[in-house]
Amino acid sequence: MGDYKKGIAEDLDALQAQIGIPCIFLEADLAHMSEAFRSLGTILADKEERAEELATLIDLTMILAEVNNQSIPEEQRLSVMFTSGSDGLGTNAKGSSQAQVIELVGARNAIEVEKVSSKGGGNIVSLEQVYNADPDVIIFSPGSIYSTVASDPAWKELRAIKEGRYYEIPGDPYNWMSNPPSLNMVLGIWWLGNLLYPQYYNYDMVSTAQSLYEGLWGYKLTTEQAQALLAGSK
Amino acid sequence: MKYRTKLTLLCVSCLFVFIVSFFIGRYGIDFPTVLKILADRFVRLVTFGKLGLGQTWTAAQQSIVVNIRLPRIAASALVGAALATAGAAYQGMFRNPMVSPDILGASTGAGFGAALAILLGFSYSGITTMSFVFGMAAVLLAWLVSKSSRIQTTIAMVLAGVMVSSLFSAGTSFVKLVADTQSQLPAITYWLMGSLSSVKTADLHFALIPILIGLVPLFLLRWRINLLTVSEAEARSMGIETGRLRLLVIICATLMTSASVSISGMIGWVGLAIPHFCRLIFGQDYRRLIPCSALMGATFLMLVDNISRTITTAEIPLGILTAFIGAPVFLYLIITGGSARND
Repeated sequence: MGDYKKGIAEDLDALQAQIGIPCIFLEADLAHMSEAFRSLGTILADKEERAEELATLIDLTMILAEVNNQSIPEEQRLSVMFTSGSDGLGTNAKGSSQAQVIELVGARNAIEVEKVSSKGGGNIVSLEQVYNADPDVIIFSPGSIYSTVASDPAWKELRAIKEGRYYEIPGDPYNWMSNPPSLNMVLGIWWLGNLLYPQYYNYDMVSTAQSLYEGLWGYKLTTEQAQALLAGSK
Repeated sequence: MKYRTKLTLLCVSCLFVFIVSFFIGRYGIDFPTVLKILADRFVRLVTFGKLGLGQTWTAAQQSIVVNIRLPRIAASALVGAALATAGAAYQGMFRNPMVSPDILGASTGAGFGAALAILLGFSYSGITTMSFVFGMAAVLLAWLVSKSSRIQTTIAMVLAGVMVSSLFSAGTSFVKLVADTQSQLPAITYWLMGSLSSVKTADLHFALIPILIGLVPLFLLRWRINLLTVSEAEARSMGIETGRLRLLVIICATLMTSASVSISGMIGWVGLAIPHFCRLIFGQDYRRLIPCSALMGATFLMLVDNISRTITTAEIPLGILTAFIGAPVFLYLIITGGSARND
């Protein structure tokens, strides 16, 4: 499962011939994710019901994003920089599979580079490039320099930092925005949408996170745990 | 041309590149503004902050020149000088022109330290510290091994260095194998390729002291390094005990290498090619070679870093650029037979 690559069918046919176990490829970027889960449900024994649950949840999320994306007027669209790595300079640029969520919720990716890297970690940019792009909002990975940027002389003059519009992406069980780009991106859509456009994505993120955890992972998140996860989202 | 003229020229070009670098960057700031910000900084520095120019520029412009470009340019100069000097010193000590600063394992040790720190999820400054400590530890290990060996000292040292290097690079490979492919592995890979993109003023303070501690003694004792270039037996017959001098050179060169690698990652070729280039121009004498290597290393790395940070929207790792530029130059030297032999 993952991004489609040229030659994947031949590779998997060869593998299948070698190991004698059927191999299939499911494209699973956000646009194809519910389809991928439904296919899994039909293939795997006794999993049809669970797959349908997940697929419905993904479909619901995608509809939410699409409806809001269309209703957000052009002048309200924010530019977002999505950093990765501990120094905050790895950037999931426009067009990378890690950054799908940004455009789905109706924002723009602030960083455009010539050669987009879709490996985790993204493209390394210089801080000057960030000043150039002048993003409205910056989101940092969990465990990065998020907590120190406000006092860091090199970062603090950025408009997003000065205006306090920078946030830490919740990191459990995985980074909600991507890393890896999979089911946890569903959480990312609900989170980023609510963070950027609360007037459109109008719900309480703490209780939403609790129900999403139950739906996606079958885990009962307590209110305290949810609040701790969202500590960097203020 | 006389030595003094050449040295002056080198100093002037180093200073010129240093100043010009401030005007280069992805963020467009016009020429007079940069000049004004620099002048303002200078005036404040001399008058201890009592006087300054009236601020006609934005805070963002000031931040870019003072907090982004200045540390980066200073770091590239410092790292370039440190690597080239360490390379020159090692080449003299081992009487081998193919030696570079990582001969005793300082770079691979530092690389392993950084990779391990990234794997364990250390903060940015934690990664720098770990890398520095492991660089020093690698050389200490190599030195201890060579100490307890019965083979001739320099050969034992080279062998121990090779052994320690491969041990640490195996360690690095293992760390890469178990690292999270989504976030840690790219970070480690990028770090190993060498970059100054995230250098800040704090890193500069961190690296400045060990680099100076290494650079100053080498500079003061540079005439003595000439003694190391003759064979051990010859030196002893002249009544010189080279053991302590050798240890001093190792300590100094290691301090410089580990400190540079810890803030910049692995940058190859500077420590190997620059001393050779200097030998072509200034001859074999270490009294001249040490200061010239430092100056030329600084100039070279500032130039390369200017390319690295401006040529594309995303950064190109420095290690790749130095190899692209360093390797052809080195090949040319080998083909023309210009690379002077040490013995």
